[in-house]
Amino acid sequence: MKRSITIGAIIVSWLGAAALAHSGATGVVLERMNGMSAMKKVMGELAPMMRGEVPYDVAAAQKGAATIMAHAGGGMVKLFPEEAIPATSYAVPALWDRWDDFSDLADLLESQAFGLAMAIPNGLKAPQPPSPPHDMEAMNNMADMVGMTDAVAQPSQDLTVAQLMGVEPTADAHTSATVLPEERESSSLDYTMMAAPAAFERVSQTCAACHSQFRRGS
Amino acid sequence: MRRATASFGGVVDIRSLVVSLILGAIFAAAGIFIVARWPIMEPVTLGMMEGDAKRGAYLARSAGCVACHTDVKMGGAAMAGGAPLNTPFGRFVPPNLTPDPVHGIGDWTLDQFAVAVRQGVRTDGKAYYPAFTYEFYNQFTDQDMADLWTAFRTVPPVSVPTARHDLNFPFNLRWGLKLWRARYMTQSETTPVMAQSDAWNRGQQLVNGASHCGACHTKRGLFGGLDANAKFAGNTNLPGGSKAPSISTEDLLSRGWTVANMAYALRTGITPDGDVLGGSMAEVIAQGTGMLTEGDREAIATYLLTPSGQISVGLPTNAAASSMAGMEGMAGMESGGN
Repeated sequence: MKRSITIGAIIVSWLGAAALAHSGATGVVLERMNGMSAMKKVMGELAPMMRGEVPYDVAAAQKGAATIMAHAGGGMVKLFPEEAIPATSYAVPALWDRWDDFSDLADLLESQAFGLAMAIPNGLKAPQPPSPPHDMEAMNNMADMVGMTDAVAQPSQDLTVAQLMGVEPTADAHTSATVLPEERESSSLDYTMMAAPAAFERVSQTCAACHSQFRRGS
Repeated sequence: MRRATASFGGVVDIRSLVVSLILGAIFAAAGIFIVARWPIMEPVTLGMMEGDAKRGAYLARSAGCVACHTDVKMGGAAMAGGAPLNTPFGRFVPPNLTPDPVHGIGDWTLDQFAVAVRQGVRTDGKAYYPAFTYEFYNQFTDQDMADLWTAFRTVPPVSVPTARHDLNFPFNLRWGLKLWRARYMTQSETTPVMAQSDAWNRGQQLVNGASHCGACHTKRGLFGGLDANAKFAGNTNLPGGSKAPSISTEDLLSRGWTVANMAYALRTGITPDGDVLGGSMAEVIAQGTGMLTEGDREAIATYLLTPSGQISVGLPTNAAASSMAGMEGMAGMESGGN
């Protein structure tokens, strides 16, 4: 009897601690906070890997991509039922006012996490497309590309005047979370030819797009 | 003399009271007249100075011109006017800065543009509201201004008028800005420090100048002046409702920031613990720091993470070249190729 009471007390206090860790949140609010925390843990573990600061671990990275997929898409959206927003929640009313935009970002996150899983085996550099033998022009072009490690434009690409002034979009804008769904061209992305860091940064861009519109605070 | 007995038992001289009130009103009106007439513009003579569009466009991006004056969320045309800013002082609307001669700045000269950006003075001699962050731009060089002007004129003209600001009393009294400026405006600290690394100096130039981090990360007083005793201590009352955390060196270091992960965050938004910055900072990254060179992001991080009085460590070799390219405008610097 005493033992079962002890075990029960341990379980209850663990649950309580989890709720307290999220400022007293309960129910779906706690569930979605736990989901966000799980994704945050993945991002925190993968970022140094993507920066080349810690050894690249394909298995761990794949597991991380799978975790994000599990908490994105429909799995995320179902945890945001329309109801009065509890004080413990970080969600803002705009999330429900612009439900289509929110669910689009949740779906985009899921597909980008899947893309990340495809890009992870490539490591920190994109695979080089094979060039025909003895093609001097191609070899010269390859030499010009020294320093560019991604088939898709590098995050710190050299931007044109028109792009810097906002007159034209950047190379990756049309596939990113920053454009409206109807303007996005996801089909042009080939994650199998992408460096893992580039795929990873697309994921973070989607997180940022959602947080900036639908999460309270910063 | 007419007298009256006031409720507290004293005797009030009505005539003297009325005369005092009238005199007070006259003095106040005279004061307002003097302030309103008080010239705040310092003449410039840049004339037809030639500018470089690429340098100017990069500066326009790093200074936030493009992000503020373009309504990105609504798909607005480049530089044709920005999303309104709802602040404790009222609603500000960033104007159309395209070369349209009627609704933009197409009929301006380079001199007028330089006065506006570096001094915060309109073409009619009145002051701009500091929602336009000109108090951070006063150290831009003449070449910077010529470059910016050239870049601005590459943008297609858009004939769209700008809505007027909608400000609360007394902030809608524009003449009051001259008093505000006298009290709160200071020179940006961007002068290079000989003992510090190139990265630190470039970071100082950006953070205290073009990138104007303090505009959000320093709290403002009752009249909107930046709190000089709380530089970078954070601001919980930003337009749009988001919060700017402290970016003091001590606080940043205690939260696990390093030059590497901060430069990374200024491109990706990913924090040391794996969160992704939201609120207004997501927009700053997407529309600003994310489009800088890697060297400049590292420079910003170097400056912010070097404790006051300490000498900064130089950049790793492979990042130094791109950092140098971003510092072409600094006196005495060679521009290195990548």
